[in-house]
Amino acid sequence: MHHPDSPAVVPGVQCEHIRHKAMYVMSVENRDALRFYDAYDSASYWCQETSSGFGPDGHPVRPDCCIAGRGCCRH
Amino acid sequence: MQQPTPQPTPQPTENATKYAWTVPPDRTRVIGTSVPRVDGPDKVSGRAKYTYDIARPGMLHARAVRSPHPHARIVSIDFSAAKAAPGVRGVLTWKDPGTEVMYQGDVVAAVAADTEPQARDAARLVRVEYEVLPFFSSEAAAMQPDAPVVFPNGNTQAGQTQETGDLAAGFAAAAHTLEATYSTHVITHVCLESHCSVCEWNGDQLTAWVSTQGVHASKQQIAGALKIDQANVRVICQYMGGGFGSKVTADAPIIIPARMSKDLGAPVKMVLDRKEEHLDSGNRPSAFARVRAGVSADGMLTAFDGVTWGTGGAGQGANFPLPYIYQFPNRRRAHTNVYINTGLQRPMRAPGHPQGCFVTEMLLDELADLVGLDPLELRLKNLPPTAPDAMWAEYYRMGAKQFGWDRRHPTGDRNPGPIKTGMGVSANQWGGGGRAGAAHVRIQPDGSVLVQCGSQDLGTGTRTLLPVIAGETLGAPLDAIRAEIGDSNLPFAGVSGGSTATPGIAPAIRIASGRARDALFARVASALDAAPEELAAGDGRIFVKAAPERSLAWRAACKLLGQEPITADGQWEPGFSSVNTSGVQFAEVTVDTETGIVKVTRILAIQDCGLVLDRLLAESQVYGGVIGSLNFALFEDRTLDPRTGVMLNPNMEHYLLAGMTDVPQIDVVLMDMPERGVIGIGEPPTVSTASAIANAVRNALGVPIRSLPLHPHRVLAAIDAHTNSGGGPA
Repeated sequence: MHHPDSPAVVPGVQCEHIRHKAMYVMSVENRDALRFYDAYDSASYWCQETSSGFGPDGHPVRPDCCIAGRGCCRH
Repeated sequence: MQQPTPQPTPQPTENATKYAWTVPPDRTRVIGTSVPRVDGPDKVSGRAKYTYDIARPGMLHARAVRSPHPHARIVSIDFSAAKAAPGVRGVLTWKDPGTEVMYQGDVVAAVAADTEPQARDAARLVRVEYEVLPFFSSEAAAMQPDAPVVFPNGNTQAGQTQETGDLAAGFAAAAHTLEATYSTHVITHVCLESHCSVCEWNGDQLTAWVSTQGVHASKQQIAGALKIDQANVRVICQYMGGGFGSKVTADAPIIIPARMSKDLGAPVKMVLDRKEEHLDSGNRPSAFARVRAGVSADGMLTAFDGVTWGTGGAGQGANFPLPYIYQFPNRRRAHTNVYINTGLQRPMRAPGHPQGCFVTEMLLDELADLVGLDPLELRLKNLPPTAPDAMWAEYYRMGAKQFGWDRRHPTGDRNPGPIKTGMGVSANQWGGGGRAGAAHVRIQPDGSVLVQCGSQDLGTGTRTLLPVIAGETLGAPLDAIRAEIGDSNLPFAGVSGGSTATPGIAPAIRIASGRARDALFARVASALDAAPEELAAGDGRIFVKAAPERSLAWRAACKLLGQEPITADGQWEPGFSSVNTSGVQFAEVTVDTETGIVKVTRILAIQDCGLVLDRLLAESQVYGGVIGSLNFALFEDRTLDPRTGVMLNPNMEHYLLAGMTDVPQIDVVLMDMPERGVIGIGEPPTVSTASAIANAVRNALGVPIRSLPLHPHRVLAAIDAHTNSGGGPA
């Protein structure tokens, strides 16, 4: 389970250029945060390279697609 | 960039004891009282300088060229006419020919000119040739099986189904089941100060004035985007006109002027207009939930089976917590993100929670009627066990008494006449937390105090919290304390987001102030013929705890420092702040069944946030959250033309917000929990109001309106549908 605002972006898996708010919000990792509901991911993502929600290839930035195999992905 | 790693549950440190918020024989003198905003006079007089107000010598103005199409391929960009226009100093290509624009308002290029009108005129002269491509302007269109592939990884993305318990057994145990579809709509960010920045280079040093929720976060992002050292970037945000989650990303309105300023050798300012704000500064995603739920004869929730979907625009997700707070022992939920060609979602005050809250709270009222229970009673039966961060049952009981819940009539106001009244309730929850904030405190020999922290004030009153905490700790008069925030050259602080800003910085300010106070005690103790540990501070004096009459006025004590000020630093440590809040809200409405107009007459908000630092500011957060959620329920609605995919109301004339007469009486009850330390309160108050209002409308009409917003024509349509289906007049 992840904090509601800290989705699954794993170093070495997702591109090093992917960004989301929780990277900059200094929140204590709280294992109890989800005890009143199930896990979910409401985050928005952007690319450090393009400063937008689309990567250098023009496709959306998301954890499921900013991974190895995508031409612009960097680790 | 190093990703955040899970933090172990922090243990309180020695400082948490030494500088605990209340340490006998100290007593609270400032914290918890209502201290007005120290910058209030500057704000109302116009002296406060927002990024919008920044003007630098020789400053140019940038203007974006944006796609008019929801989806198109850029064939060519011709700057020739724009370059020849009066005052134009430069142009910039943001998206190259051959790439696609994915929504109306997607940035293609930019122009910089001597004046803002010149830049605006020149931007219109940039000729962009587009190849228009298929697009989606609704979730339904994107979900059609035969829909064209607009998004390369699919127009939809199904998430993993979550399942707990035994769903079949849960429904078997149900005396009543309900199947219904609920939905909430997309609303856009409407910060009164639009997204803007001013960028100025001095050699390889960039100074950026940015309307941002994070000066340090912006510094990091700008440096990353420009591929320069973070040490070469300074970001300043002294005042900002709202952010609500939309001002975390350093995107085009910051990077374009930074790049153009470098290229053109002059400061460049870029300010979005209201249309650009609606199109491209983020939004709250839509939410749809097709739900089947079961409840036992005695009102225990037995089963929840939900299929949900929503859109966060062109490629972003739209998930939300469901079911929300209340306990369904057997549940299943499958969510699908749907991508359509509109601006991208961004965090908006309590991301996901208002949507999940609405679906769940509406469902509960309908289930309560099936059982024949008061909706409050049904809620009390199905809440999680009471705990310091889960106090809903107590708050509901307290609120019912204060609000007069016993005067609530059963579903459907049977009184004659077109004006119907109703009441509704709803609960909220938020995590929050905070860490890593740092602060610096300096006591000057003349008695003035400087408190520095690189946080920023997105409107919550951060600048006032610094003297409140330092004044409490030092015992110094508040008017002797000057706060400096909003500058990335100041000690680090995280983004003002997720209700983490105050719990992130308050411990650091407390510790830094405590260390400075201890140093002052050591320097002045001999003058009071006492040991440093025998001293205390408060009410503008340093005194001997055992003999308070032996004292020094604050400035007299500081004078003993000679020419050497005291400086002290502090960083966030565990033991001063906490996570998780709970709250409930009650709403009362009137509904005019002839016009469909809903009027909210009263809101009661009961909210905990741990230690209340400044009661006035905390209450203000609740007021703002309630009003924002009222807007969600009754007014705001992004309207798209299904034929063209163009937003029809990108303004503040047809995109509605509450006016002063739309704001009801709002009673706020803050539940003090000083033993829990500081907890952020920015998010939770905005979660519940919309659903409490919607349930109050249902209580008034006897007609469920399962989707927001409750615009008059939708209210009338629901009444008509109910009447036409044989449900009788509302």
